[in-house]
Amino acid sequence: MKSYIIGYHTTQFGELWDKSLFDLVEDTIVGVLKNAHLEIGNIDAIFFGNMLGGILENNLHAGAKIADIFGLTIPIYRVEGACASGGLAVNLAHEYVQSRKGKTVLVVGAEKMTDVQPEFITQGLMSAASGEEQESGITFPGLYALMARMYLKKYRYDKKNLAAIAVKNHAHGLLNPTAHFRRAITIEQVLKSSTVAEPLGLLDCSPVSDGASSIVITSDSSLIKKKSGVTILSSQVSTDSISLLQRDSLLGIKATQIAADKAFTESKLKRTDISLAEVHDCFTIAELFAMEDLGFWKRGEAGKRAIQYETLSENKGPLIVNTSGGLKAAGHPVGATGIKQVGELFLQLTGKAEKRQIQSPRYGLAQNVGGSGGTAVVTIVGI
Amino acid sequence: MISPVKVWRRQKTIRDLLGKEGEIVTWTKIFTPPPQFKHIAPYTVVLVELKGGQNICAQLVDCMDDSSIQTGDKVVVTLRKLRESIADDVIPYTIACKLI
Amino acid sequence: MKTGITSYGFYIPQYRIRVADIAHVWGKNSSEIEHSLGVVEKAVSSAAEDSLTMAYESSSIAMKGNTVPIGALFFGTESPVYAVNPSSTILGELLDIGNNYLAYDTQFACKAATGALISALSMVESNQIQSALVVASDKATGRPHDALEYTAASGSVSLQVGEKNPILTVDAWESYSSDTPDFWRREGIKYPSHGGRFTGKPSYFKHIIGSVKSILSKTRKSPEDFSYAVFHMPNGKFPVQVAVQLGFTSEQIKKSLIVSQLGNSYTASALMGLVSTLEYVKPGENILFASYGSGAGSDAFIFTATSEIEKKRLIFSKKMNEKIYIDYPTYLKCMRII
Repeated sequence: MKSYIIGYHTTQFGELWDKSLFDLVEDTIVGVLKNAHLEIGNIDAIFFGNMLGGILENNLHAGAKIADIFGLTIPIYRVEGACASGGLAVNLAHEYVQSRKGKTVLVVGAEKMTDVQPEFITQGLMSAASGEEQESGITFPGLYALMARMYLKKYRYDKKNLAAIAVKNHAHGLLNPTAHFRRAITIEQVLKSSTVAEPLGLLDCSPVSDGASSIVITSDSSLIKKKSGVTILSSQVSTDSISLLQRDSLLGIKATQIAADKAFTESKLKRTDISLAEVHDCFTIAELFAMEDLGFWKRGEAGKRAIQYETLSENKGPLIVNTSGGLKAAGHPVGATGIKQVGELFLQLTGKAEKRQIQSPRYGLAQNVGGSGGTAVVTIVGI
Repeated sequence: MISPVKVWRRQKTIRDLLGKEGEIVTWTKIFTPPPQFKHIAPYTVVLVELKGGQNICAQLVDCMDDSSIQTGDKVVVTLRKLRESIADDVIPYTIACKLI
Repeated sequence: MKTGITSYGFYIPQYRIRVADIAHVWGKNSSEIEHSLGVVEKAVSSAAEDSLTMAYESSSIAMKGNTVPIGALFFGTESPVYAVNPSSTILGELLDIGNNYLAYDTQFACKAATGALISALSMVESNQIQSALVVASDKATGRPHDALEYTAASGSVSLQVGEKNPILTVDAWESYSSDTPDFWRREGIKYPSHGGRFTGKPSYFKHIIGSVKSILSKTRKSPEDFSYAVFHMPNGKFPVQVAVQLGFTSEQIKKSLIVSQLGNSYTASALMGLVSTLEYVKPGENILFASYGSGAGSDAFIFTATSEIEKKRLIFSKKMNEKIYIDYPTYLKCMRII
């Protein structure tokens, strides 16, 4: 049995002052049903990816809240895996429809981050790290900075090799109407941006964004006949220690490596078959890691290849990365990100990506990471 | 409110780490801290491999010139009060590292 | 065997602020202030330090290699981290001294720890316990633009008391107490208040002279019997003047006069002078020591150094000179005033 993605919707990502968390959820559910030509009554279950609702909204019974909005009685599951909450929700929905013939489910991810001061977001995000890390006062940019310093030292790169990722993803974001940032930036601007956690500057970091995204996954092949859709060829989750302290290596994310290997094995695809990837660039270093951990580039090569902009859309290389703008430019409403990534692949594979459409891609890969690498989800889709 | 029970349980782990020595593996300097750490920012956080192989993550204290930190610099674990707690909480003491 | 101090540790935070830099903020003539207080700079603990963390620092040095069971842990401070909840038990837990010990915190302005030292000595001497740890630690703070701002400093001294191989034997002690409210702080008030010049003659001088005269007469000793003398140091002038009034020479107190460089670390202040002197004392030499605590009282001690000092001597002057100067805004940050 196969799972198909038959619809996608995302709200604008950014500072959405007039929208609450559940306004965003409502908007994207209404949007995705319209895009997929479905009624809410066609939906058998909902998977809701969200990280910070419990901390920032004091709202953990999100399933009942969504049921309330739409007058539903179907099962609704809240899925949490830090910044991989969205990807995990996709994975769980995929597994769900795989086990139930002819079912259609909604996968919704949302985060409302701009209601509170940024330091409370910093604190809230740290709930995805170990207690000892929290106690030291380190932050998520800090955890990635610890790894970035090791990577730069080991392979003798400098901050420019990181900055190139931000420059590329902003160039892509310029073409995405729902991106948080739609402006080009230069290497110099990244290097000059204020330091967040050495060696990472403000423009090495993805922003604090509001937003919600959703997809429809079905195992009902009659629906795919009528509508254009993509097939989920594999969706794999891997976990690792929550803390950096127990990791064998800080020069990559092991959970990504394991999930990627499984996904390529299951889909029977080679790395070179993938022409489009949405990777988890929460910080510039994270995209360098992703390219190596996913097996697209060799260990230590990512710094060099990033600065050659091989994966920039306009360079028309064999693999384009983060056409949505990535987390960096499209924004990072945590729970929505993993769904937006898969949604971006859906748009590209079905030829609906408008100005940022790349030429006839067949296979796309999404990589969504939770915390500093404690959870990774790799999803491969094809048309 | 910081749970006094959590602090009490944690105290035993802290005690076992105090006085241990190790080497800096990697480090960063935090300029945008969580709210409980704003009063001491910016500050340096180090990942240290203790003798015997255990890794810890802790602030590097009493080091004004952090530009000279190198991988392999030797540190000892000591005690500090880093997290700001509200006035009617218990005080969460924690580990910190200082250069030897 | 004779009861005494068997080991010691001290902690001087690394930051210093110059008195001139504080004077400058308030438009005062810095050389006049330095001259009138006899203090040039003071030790400042960081924002992440308090009387407990400093007590841990000094105590971990004093307790290094200790094998004798600690039957009592006394913690004297004027800047306790809790109004209610003992610091002595937190410290005992962190030092991993087990649970069979008597713990309490003492409060008596700058002499909170020397009073506890007398209790500890008496308990050991009467064979009720084998050993005790007495800690004096303060993160002293003065209200901005108050005279205390120039001198109130941070530091900690820990003394282990026992009978086995003391470095200093305690030959005598004497206390002198009266109700003299020259310095106080009420519950919930951040900064202490003081009686200005009232802290001098009727307070500091009267009590130290009282305890020292009494101990000298009791032991039939005179100032020339001592190689060193140590007096509490609220500033650089009082200990010099009290020494003159009691007949001690400037040579006898010279090694203890670290207040000009470190400021007044309250409960730790006089003991800081003692441990500074321990860098130089030779076996057999006598030290006269007198603390002072506002409110008021003075505890005087006569110590004799033994040959054990050579094994446990700490180089105070080296630590005192490991310092980083900070500016006034950084000082305010360190003291959590901003």
